[in-house]
Amino acid sequence: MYSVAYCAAIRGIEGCIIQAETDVSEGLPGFSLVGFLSSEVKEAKERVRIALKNSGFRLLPKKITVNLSPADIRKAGTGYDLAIAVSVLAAFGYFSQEYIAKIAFIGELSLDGKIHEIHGILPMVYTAYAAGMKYCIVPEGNYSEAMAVEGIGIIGVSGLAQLVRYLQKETFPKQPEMVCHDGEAAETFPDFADVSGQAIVRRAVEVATAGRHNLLMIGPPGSGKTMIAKRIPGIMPQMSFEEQMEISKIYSVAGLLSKSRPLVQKRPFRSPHHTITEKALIGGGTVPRPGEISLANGGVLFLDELGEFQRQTIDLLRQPLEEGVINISRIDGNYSYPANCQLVAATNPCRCGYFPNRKRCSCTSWEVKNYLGKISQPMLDRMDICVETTPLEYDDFGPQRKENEPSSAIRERVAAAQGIQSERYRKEAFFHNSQLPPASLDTYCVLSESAKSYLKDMFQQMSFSARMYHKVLKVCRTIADLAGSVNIEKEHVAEAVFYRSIDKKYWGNERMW
Amino acid sequence: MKEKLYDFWLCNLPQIGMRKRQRLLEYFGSSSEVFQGTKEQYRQVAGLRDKDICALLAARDGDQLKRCYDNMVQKGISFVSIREEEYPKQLRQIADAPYGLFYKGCLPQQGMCGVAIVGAREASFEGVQIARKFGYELAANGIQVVSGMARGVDISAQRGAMDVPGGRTFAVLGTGIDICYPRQHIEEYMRMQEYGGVISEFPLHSPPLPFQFALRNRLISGLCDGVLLIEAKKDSGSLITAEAGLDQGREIFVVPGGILNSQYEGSNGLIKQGAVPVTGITDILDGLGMFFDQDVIERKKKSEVLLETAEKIVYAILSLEPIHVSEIVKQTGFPLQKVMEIVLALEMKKMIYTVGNNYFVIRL
Repeated sequence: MYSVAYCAAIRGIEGCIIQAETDVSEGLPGFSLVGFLSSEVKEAKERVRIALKNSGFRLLPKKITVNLSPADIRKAGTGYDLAIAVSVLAAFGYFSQEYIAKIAFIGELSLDGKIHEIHGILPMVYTAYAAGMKYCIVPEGNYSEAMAVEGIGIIGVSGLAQLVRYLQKETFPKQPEMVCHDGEAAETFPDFADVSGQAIVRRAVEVATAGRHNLLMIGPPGSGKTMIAKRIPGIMPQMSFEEQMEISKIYSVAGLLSKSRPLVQKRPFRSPHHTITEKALIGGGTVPRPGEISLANGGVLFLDELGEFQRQTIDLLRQPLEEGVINISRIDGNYSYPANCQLVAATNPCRCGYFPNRKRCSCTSWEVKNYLGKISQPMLDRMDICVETTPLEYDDFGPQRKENEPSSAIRERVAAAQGIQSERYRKEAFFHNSQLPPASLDTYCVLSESAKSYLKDMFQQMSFSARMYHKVLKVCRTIADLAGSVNIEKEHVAEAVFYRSIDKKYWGNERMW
Repeated sequence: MKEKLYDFWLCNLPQIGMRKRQRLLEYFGSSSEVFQGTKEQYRQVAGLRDKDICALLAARDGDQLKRCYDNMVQKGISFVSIREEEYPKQLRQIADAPYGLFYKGCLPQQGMCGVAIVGAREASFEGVQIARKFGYELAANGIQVVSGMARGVDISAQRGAMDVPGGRTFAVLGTGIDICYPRQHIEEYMRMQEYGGVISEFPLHSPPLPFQFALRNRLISGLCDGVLLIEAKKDSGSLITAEAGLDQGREIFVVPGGILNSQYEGSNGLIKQGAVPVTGITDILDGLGMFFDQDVIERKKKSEVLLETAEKIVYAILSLEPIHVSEIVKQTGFPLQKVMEIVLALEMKKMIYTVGNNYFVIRL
């Protein structure tokens, strides 16, 4: 008596189909579970045995062996319980083996036979769908989340006994329709109309978002750095369904999807505290889980008080930010999570926060230098755009203030600029100006004659590095895209140079004055 | 030569400060005799403690002394004692003239006028600019600039002097000659050896101890004919230099400041006491009794640079305190992009400079 039931395992945010094979044979009665299992999966043996008993199934005293195959993939998590139970019951002939061959079973069992919800249902269901399954049985609590995947029958069940009844009748009842996909409007971000003053920062944010450039804001406390950062996802273009799916998968694995929010339709905005650990930021753990950088995929990763973060932690961001993906190696394999986010960082200019306003800032130039010195240079190098915010004046927020442009207007321009980029880079492996490799700069960043000589003057006078040159050129490209210009003109260069990232060498350095 | 070696020995003993050295010399007459003194003789010298005597006795190794001296010379450090010709004449005249001086580069040229520029370490942007301007102009007019290589006014004045090709500037250190303090001024420390020199009276490797800085201040004024004070707060260290200068009969020049500005409290106090208020380089040249005609060299005047109308408007808004770009936009009403372009153009013409990224200050 041999039977197979299918379920799915998650590796990174992708899944793979797992077979739960059961063999029932004569011999000393017992229940053994094999197949490279983590301890919670080993415990499934007890859960399944007792859940079966409490659901009213009396198993004959036989030698039961369950194998989760392929046996070289480490199984972690509690989603295998249901497939094991079904496989065992099928081996005892409770229902037809053929019928369950096109069904994936996902869920955790409790001792009384109830089926509990689990994390990461979305990628699992998606895997089942991709593997050509007809149905996917999921815990009732995960039903709405699983419904995000179309093209496969999703059946939410609450108990083992209920499931067995369905399987014996070989029909499933009609499932409730879920209207969840349009439940959450993308417009729920705070609006840029609330941001007063800060004209230059508004513009810099627009440029940064249009080209997915990393942005650093330096400014005194209370000048609105966090407020502005929170509004950035709101000026990014609407997400496509593929993007939503990818982000939802990450959130599913991280266990952050809820019944009311089964699909992420809002661009993420993640703002980890500066005490965050390495694993929490980039992902990891014995059972790897996506970190903040992956949770911000497609949205904004905001690091407030950049200088306060552990330097080691921040430095880990360097490589994933460049590659858009984070690879985590564990003894049982490699996991990769997407990490395609826009980094927005904020910091005070000095310890007291008011440099260069010497009326309020009494930090010594050495202290000023040191404050930004805590940020590693390689990290600063990844900041394409750097702006300083100013303290607000009464006219900026008082009753006479001017109407500010709302997010929707900015979003239109950003979307247009991104449209130009995706059109231009359709044959390339990258999507945004910020990802332009140095080798392609000449191809895509064509300067007009006047811009060329202007840029040359600028660089000679200001003694920039080659890296700075590349960064400025990329930002030039984005500014030209925003202006709808094919070539880069002089004024684009001027603006890009203006946003050049700070060089620690010059920060608070009297030598240059 | 032999005698110089003993002078070096006596000046390079970390335990023996200025007073003890003086007493030893008074008792023995010369450094070679100090070197050969017996324990009992040392005991006779007032103020010497057992610890000092032990140190003296332990350091009396002729071979090691020679090695130490050669080593020092190899590192480009020279030593001069008060008994030698090269010892700066002006220093000889001051009370508590150091018995020996260590220096790198060269010593102030005899017969050439010198002015000390001292002031606040936590100088304002304005103070830094003024210091650099005066440093430049003094050097350009053939005056040696002496200072202490401290942050703020000191280093800016010396940078200004080194902006002049062939400008001469000297730093008197409060540490051993081979120590660059503060560390971030290493670039100036090295360059100064080409444009002039660095000087110290303290033994090699002396760490930066607070009392040493107060002591060296008398050398800063001592090496000069005049002392220029920029931004001295009440009770600031620069006032020690001014006071020493007064005792030594040097001319005191002060850049005056606003009466409500605490940065100038000490400076203005000196003016009340009769120091010369300075508003331009000619005031200093006058005060030193230097003969000069009309072509005193000043830093490039604004009017000499051609500016477009829009640039003039933006320039007019800027001041010696940093101003953010958004403020310029607000005041001129120009679009942001245009302001950026103008500001960069001004920066390239070296009319203004940026503090951080988006704040701008005019360059004097």
